[in-house]
Amino acid sequence: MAFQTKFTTPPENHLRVLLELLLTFMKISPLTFGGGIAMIPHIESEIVKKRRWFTSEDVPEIIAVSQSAPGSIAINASIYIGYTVSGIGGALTAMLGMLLPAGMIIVLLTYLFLTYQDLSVVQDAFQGIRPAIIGLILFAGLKIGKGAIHDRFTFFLFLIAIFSLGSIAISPVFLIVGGALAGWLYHAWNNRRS
Amino acid sequence: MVSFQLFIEFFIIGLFGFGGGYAMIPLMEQAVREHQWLTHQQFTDIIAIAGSAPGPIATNSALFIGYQTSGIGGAVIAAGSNLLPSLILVLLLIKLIARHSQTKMLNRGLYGIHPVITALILYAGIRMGVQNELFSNLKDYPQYFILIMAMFLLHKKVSPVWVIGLSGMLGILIYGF
Repeated sequence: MAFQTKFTTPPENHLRVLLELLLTFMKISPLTFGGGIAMIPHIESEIVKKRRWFTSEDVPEIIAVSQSAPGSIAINASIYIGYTVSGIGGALTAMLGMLLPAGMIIVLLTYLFLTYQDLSVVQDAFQGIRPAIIGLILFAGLKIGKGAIHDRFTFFLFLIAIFSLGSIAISPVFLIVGGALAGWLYHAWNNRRS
Repeated sequence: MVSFQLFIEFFIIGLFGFGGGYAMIPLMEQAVREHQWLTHQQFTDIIAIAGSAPGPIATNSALFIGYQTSGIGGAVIAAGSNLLPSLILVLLLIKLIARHSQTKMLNRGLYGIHPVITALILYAGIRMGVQNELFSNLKDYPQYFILIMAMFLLHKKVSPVWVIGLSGMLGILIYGF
C-alpha cells in the first residue's frame, strides 16, 4: 500500500513535499464547483499522473474512505492523500490547500452580499435563486437516495424516517444513529438466518 | 457563550454528516432554527452563496453562519469544528481499513444511515420551501418553473454555479419589472 512506502521522506524533502501538497490542492480546489464525487477525476490526474504519489489501484480505496467518513468528500480525500504522502502535517497541509482558495472567494462573496443585500435588484435576484436552491437540495437528496435505497429494507427505513420527521419533533442525529443500529441489526439477523 | 455553542453544534454536524456536504444541510438547518441564529430566508440565501462559490458547500456555509453570528472568530470556530470530525475519522479509517471486520461493521452501519440521510435532505428541502413561502402563493408560477428548471439542469450535469446565476437573472427579469 502506498502509505507504507511513501512515509519515510527524508527531512530535507519533507518541506518540499508539503509545499507540493499545498499547491496541488490549491489548484484542485477552485475546480470543485458542486463538489463531491465530480472532482475525483481532477484529483486522480494530479496525484496519479502528475505527482505519482499513488497508483490507479489506490484510487478506489481513497474514494471509499472519503465517502464513508462524515463530511465533504473533497475534504476527506485531501486528508487521506495528505496523510498518506506525509503524515499528520501532510493531512493538515492538503486540507488547508483545499480550503484556502474557496475560503477567499466565500469571504469576498459574503462581503458583497452583506453590503448589497438591501438593493432591490439583489432582492429580486434572490427571489429567483431561492426556488433554485430548494431544487438543488431536493436534487442532492434524490441523488443520494438513488445509491442508498436499493431494496425493501432501505426503502422501509426511508419511509420510517420521513414519517417520524413529519409527525414528531425528532432530532436528525437520533435518526442517523437509529439508521446505523437498524443496519447492524438487519445484517446480524440475516446472518443468523442463513 | 455563542462561540461554545457554535463549536459544539458544528462539531456534531460534522460528526453526523454521512454522505457528503449536502448531508449536513438538514443538520445545519436544525441547529440554526433551534438557536435562532438566522431567519429561514437568511439560511436559504447562505446556501445560495455557499453553493455558488467553489469548494465544499458545508464548510462555506459554516464559515458564513459563524460569521453572521459572531464575526471572524465565529467563522473560524464554526468551520474548524465542522472539519475536525472529518480529520479524526478519515485518519481512523486509514488505520482501520487493513482490518477487514471493522470496515464491514462500518459499511453495515452506512447501509442503514444513507436511507435516513436521504429522508433528512428531502424533508429539509421541502421544509425550506415552505418556510420561504414557496408553496403558500400557488399563483406564483415562476418559482415552480425555476425549481423544476434547476432540477432538470442539474440532472443534465450543468454546474450549480450556472444554475444559481441563471435563476438570479430570471429573478431580476420576473420580479424586477
